[in-house]
Amino acid sequence: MQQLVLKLFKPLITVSQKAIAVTSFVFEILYEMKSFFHQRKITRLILIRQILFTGFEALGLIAFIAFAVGGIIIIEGNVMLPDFGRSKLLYSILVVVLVRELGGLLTTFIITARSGTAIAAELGNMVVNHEVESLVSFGISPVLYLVVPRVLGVVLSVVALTIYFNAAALAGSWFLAHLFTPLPIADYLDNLFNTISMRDILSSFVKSFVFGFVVAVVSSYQGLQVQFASTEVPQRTIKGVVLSLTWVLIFDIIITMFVYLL
Amino acid sequence: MKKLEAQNISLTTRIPVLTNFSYSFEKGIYGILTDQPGENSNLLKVLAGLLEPAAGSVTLEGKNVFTSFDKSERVVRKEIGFVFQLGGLLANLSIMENLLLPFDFHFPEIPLEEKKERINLMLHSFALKEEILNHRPASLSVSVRKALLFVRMLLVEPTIIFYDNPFMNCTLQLKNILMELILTQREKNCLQIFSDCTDTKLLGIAGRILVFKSGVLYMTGTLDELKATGDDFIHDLISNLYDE
Repeated sequence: MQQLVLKLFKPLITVSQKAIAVTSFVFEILYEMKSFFHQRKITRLILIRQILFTGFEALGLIAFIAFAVGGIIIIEGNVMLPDFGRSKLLYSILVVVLVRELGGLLTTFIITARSGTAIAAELGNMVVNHEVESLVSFGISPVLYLVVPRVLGVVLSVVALTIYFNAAALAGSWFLAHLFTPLPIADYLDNLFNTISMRDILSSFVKSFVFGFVVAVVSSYQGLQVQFASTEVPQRTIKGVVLSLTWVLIFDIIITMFVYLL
Repeated sequence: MKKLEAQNISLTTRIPVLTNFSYSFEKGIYGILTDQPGENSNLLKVLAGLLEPAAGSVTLEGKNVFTSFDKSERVVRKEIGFVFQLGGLLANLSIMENLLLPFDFHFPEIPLEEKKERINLMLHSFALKEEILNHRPASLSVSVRKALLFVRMLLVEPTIIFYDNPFMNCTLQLKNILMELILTQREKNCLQIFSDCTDTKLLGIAGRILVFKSGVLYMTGTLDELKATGDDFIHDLISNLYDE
């Protein structure tokens, strides 16, 4: 009977243990953030490299995808609605679809594919090569040195890239709308700014901030879970991607619900 | 003189690595010999505070060596140097950045130029060229990487040094340099503990060799004392060294 009860509760116990481990990892990151600025001599380089890789080097890809997505929305809308280019509905759709939702989500998906995988794989390999242990042997916290700069770098990059994505997507949508129906840029911007609200901008900002944090934390956590073999690295990387995307979508739903409730 | 004390330590991985081990390490050279060579690293890591034992504690002057990373407890880690048998250099950093990392962390007040000067001096003592400072670890030979692990450890000037298989991947020249280094550190009254060593010359200079049988401290003594015991287990363990 006791064994049956244990068997029934085993998944619950495992999930609880994992939840506690992840929560304490998040708290450790937040705790070490206070030391980050005192130790910037050793952590600054990691932060700069993370921003360079996650933010700067992704600019081209983000611009291309954003421009294409903005254009596709306009083309689809133009097929569905006659005189779409002149319709006020255009701006509402652009704000709801692009600024509120797709901007943050697609940017995060791209960052997860580029940087989330890189973080998990890099940290996993560092564990296998005793690099993490060597940091511990100096007394340097691996969370302070390896995780905090990556979290800050990814969060800053995702926030900046989301703004960049939205701008590129709106530019792309204007460009393609203009091909179908001549539309002066001044009119387009005027209508757009009349439609967009502070709540839309704030929602986009909060989402990108949370999404960046989730991707960086999940990827770092999975990378540091590698123990002995390099064969664990791809497994943990894949797990990092799947869990990042899952949690990003869960947080997206929660934040969207809050935005509509407020 | 600082004392490293192990109190009732137990650690089990796949097999018992340590069972209720208590010992007081003072200045000098200590060797570790076990019948489970695969677990030597874990044993050393427990003593160095890199691995938390299942039970017991290791203390340095009353302070637990398995510490948090708080600034107040950092002083304990500064005293302890650890040379890994493999890896340990950060692959994404240049050699200069690798060497500066613990240096910057423990001695932020020393000017960069002075640090670079000390690094260059240390490189020369290991017969290494300054040109390697801009390289990444992966572009260097295994023996150079091994030498750099010693350089990095020595820059912080620890008083307690752990060597995990110190002569592994070493050229003969490096081996001689390391032997000199170990003797110099002995003169400086450092506590040095090495494991997984099949070099009888090094075992010969150890003031004490701790022999473990299935994770339990079996016997201690100098190499000559151990050889003279006539114990079958010790005899087998030591004769294996000579075979190698």
